[in-house]
Amino acid sequence: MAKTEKDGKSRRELITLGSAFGLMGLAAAGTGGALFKYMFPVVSYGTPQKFLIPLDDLPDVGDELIFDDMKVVLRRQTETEVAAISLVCTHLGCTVNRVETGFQCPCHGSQYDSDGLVVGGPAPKTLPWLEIKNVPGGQIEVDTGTSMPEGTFYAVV
Amino acid sequence: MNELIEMAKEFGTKLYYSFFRHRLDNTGLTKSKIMFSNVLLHIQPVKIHKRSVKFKTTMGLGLITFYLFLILSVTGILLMFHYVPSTAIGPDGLPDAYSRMLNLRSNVFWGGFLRNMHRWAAHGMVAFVALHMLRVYLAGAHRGGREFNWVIGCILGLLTVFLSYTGYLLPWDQLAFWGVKVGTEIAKIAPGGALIRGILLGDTDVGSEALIRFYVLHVAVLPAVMGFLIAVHFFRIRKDGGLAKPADTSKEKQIPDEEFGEVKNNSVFKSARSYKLVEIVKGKEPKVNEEVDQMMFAWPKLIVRELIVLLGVVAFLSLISVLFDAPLEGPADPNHPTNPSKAPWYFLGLQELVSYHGFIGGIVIPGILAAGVMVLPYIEIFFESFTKTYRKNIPGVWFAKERNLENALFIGMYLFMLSLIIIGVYFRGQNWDTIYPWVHEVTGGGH
Repeated sequence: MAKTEKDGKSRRELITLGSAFGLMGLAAAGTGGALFKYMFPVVSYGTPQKFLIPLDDLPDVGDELIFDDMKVVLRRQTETEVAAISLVCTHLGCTVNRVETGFQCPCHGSQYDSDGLVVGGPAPKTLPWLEIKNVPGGQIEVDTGTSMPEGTFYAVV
Repeated sequence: MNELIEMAKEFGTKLYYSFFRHRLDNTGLTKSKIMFSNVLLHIQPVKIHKRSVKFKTTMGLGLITFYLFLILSVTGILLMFHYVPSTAIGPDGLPDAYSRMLNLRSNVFWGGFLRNMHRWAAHGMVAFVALHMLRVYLAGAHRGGREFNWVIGCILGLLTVFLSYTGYLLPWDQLAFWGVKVGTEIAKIAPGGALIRGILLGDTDVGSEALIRFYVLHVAVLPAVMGFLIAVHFFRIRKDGGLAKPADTSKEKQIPDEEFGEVKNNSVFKSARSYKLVEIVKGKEPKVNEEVDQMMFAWPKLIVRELIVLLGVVAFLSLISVLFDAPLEGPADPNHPTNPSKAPWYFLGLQELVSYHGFIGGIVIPGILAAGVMVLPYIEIFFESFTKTYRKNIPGVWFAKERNLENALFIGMYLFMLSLIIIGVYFRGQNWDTIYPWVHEVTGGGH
């Protein structure tokens, strides 16, 4: 009799402790999840991913032009063929410099040739070639979030 | 007249005893009361082992680290009065955060000095955390029930580094911008890193949101966590019986008794550690007589020594802060990294590793090192249990012969990190090319 009484007591204690800590744990988990969602960005205040260039601003044929703010170099092969190469290093996101041999990253020494192919350093991938679209009003739209195979030129009008 | 003096004396006595709850004499009772009736002093025990105050026991490394944390808290709060975490371009054409740095440096009275002090203390804290950890390991003080405190210490070390990292973003100069850019790109290549990066930056790229988040982390979240963990770290040292020491210290040479001043013994227990009578202490029996010659009152010798260390740290930091200005590069330019773009010295080892391979150098090797060092005492226990080589553990003794292998490996790891840092600081030039400091001038870097 005494034994069952003791068992009952410890069971009651276990239930009390379990529910107290369990509820606390649940509350903590819920709060943690909510906090995670709270901290996660929903709106971007940064630089837009796509940008427009008037056709008049394109480089001359056989030449190229660097758009600093967008970290893109625009290269014009023929009168109607244009390509955009990202200047964001594929290693850790520094902006690469245009040098005679191609592109070079000042942060960790990645080297690319003038088509963005890796020739040295820790960079894992070719510099992304970006998608270009014709948009009305004599402009083209470059999407810095894309990655096309190297040598992808687009026809512009 | 005499009556008046008597009344003034009585009033004075009442005033004194309303502030303090102890007399001022040489009895053990007073020396004890001074320690445990003061909220700041009671963190330390009334009586400590004599070897605790010897220079070679700790070299004061942990204490100096703690003092640097205090100095950083004070100077940091003062800097907050003049700082705005904003990237908005002001009338001078500079981001607000950056122009506040210029303001601190050139206009605010004491502004440059406090900023220098904050920066140099931060660098010092990273260095002293590393030295403190080395001391603890080489003296075997991470074992014998103190394994978990070692883990907490490692977390404190990581927090120190993370505080430095969030701190050097705040000036919004080139170093800040590209440091955070590269750091968060490293986070991105870790598994699940894109989520962490999003949470840290609050945006798709480093910008105004990142500055706010790093600011809040730097001035509120991380110091609060750090303060709490420091309390746990100290508490556990107390509960583990003070600094790690060998079981038998009777043969060690101690500082002679005369050095500690006279103690008038008015206790009925002539040789007892009286506070132990009211504490239940783990162990075979109350150690009344065996260790008692090697114990000393913490007041005043230990407290005075600690104050001298504090004065030394403050004096040295002040001197450095007057002589050397904290680095400030040009305002953040998201389009053009400086060339070379170097992190502060304590990250250059990591930057050097990353320059070989982003994932292996940035995630795998640092991850293994950090996690490995954190659980090091448990790895030791694991090997000892499974190979049944129970080594004689001699805590608190430098370079114990039984631990030669472990110590050599640990020193080797430190030398590895140090050589990477030296390569990063002195042997890397433009485009991270190898240079020789005796040929080229070393440039760049947050020092």
